[in-house]
Amino acid sequence: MKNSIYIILFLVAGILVSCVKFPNPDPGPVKSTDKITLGDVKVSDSFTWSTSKSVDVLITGLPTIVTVKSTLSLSLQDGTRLYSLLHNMSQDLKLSIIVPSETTSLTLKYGSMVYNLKVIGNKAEFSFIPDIPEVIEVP
Amino acid sequence: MKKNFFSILCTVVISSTVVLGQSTVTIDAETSSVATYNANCWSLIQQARTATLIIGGAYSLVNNNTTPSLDITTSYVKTPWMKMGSGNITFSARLSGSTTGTTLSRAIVVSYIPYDPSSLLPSKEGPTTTFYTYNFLPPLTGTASQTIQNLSVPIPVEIANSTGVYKIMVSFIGDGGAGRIISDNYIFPGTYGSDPSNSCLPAEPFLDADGDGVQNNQDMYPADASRAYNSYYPSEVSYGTLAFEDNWPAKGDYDFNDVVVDYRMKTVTNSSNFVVEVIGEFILKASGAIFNNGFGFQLDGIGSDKISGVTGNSVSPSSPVFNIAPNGVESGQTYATCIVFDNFFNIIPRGPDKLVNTIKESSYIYPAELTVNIAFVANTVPITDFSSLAFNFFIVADDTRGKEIHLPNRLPSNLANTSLFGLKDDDSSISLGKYYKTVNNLPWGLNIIQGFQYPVELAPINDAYLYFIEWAESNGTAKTDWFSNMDSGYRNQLKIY
Repeated sequence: MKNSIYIILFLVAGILVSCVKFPNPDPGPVKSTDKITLGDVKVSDSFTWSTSKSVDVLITGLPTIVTVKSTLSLSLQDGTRLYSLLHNMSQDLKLSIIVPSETTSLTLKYGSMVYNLKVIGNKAEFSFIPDIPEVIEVP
Repeated sequence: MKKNFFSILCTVVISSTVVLGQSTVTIDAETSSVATYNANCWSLIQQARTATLIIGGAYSLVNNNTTPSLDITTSYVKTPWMKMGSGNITFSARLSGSTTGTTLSRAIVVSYIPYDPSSLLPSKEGPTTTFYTYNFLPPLTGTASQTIQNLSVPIPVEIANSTGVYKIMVSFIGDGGAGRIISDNYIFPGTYGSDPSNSCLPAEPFLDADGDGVQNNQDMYPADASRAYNSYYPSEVSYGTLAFEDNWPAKGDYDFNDVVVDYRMKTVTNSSNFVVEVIGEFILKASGAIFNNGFGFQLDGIGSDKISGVTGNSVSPSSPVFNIAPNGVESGQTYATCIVFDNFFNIIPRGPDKLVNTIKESSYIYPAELTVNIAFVANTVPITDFSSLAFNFFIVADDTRGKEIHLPNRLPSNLANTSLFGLKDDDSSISLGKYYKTVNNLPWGLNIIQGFQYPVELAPINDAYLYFIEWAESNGTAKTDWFSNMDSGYRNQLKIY
């Protein structure tokens, strides 16, 4: 009997709660621009107001048997050329370039060879020496 | 004495793809990784360096295939393309002596491969011709098999002193067992003839009409020895947009159209990678300004004395605002400062509404273009020291030289009136390294390197571009396409010129 009373009370409470009108219907997402004017905007001290970013391109040279010089160029992924110079393959090179902030990779061309460089943070690194482990113990 | 990988009897420094002058090509596994050798156009296939059972120095080569093979293309040392000399190829070899399994045979096979430009193979290798085989004699296992064999292999007469190029392939073959073949100290008579910058194909004739060291097909100025390359900012095919407010140190109306200039900077360098000149293309698009405003840029870090001349800019010799030095840059500046124009309205006169191209209802005035050439003193500024970050654009507002307005956090020039810092809405602080921002970090200038359609007169930029604030408050991580997305939710086209 006691259990039945509890069950009835529980159901009634549930019905009452479910019938309460929600006082603030969800208005959907509100863009910040609806509420904030430019004068009120709070922007980080570190914000650059830039749609571009500076990328350090670090290239590790290959010790070559003879001096090898050829044209090194850097382009965006769509092929738009940014930078060209004559490069000695055996030398390291560091360049800073400015690219659109959404850039995630660059195309490096050296002579006839084409490489894809991933842009990670503000760096893009490349080595002419492939990364292959190679010293073994003779069985 | 063990020969070094880089020991060469005679070397002629080459440019680009021409390689001449070595009388031997050697490999001894000492100074480079296998990867480095391969990048130098060797083919060390199923080969590793080993520091045990070495033949000479600290490392030798060893075949790295766990199962021996009688196929000469399984494990080998193959040279780069060479112009063969005469005499003998020499190298040393030994067995590892492994007693695992039953070793039936071990041998070294030497072959040559001609260059075949018609080959479908990327390497352009022709058919292989074997001309020498050395069979290791029993015992093939145990310490007695580890005796070093010094081999001397005559170069076949048909390729000796050839005009064409060949590769020599030394293969390590065998049957049964687990023993390896260790080798070292290779000397190949001839000259290195591969080009590591051209997929290791044979070095091609070096054609360089202007003699500057850059071959014609790579030289953007093949008939001009003083120029070789172009680099671009923001890119070869596009313009960036600079948009300024001119009421600094007070906030303006934030329509960012008081001075609107599209730009593209081309940096010309020579074959020694020094800057020869910077050619700035500027398109004067709009000025919704009451003030007369000038525009220019400082080359941060580049001394004024590094510039030999400036042409193509628009500065009146009698300008009361700007004093130009004989070399064309502005006088009194530590870093080279080029004034592109002293007054926007001297180039495009004010329209009927007293403005230029900021009110849609007014007649459109075709933009003016200025091409400014900044010549550098020869061989003083390497391109590697000249990043696009050096371009520090600014306007000079209201015919007042000290009212210099830069992009946010870019340094003022020597002639900026820094006593204006901190006045009105400006919150610049030299000690904090904060420049040309308000207390809540709003700027007076924007640089959109992808190009940008500016707002109409009196329309704050956030009324034109509906996600501008969201982008700014997210520190540039959200709505990064606020300026380029053409969807109606992103922009109010009525407020964009």
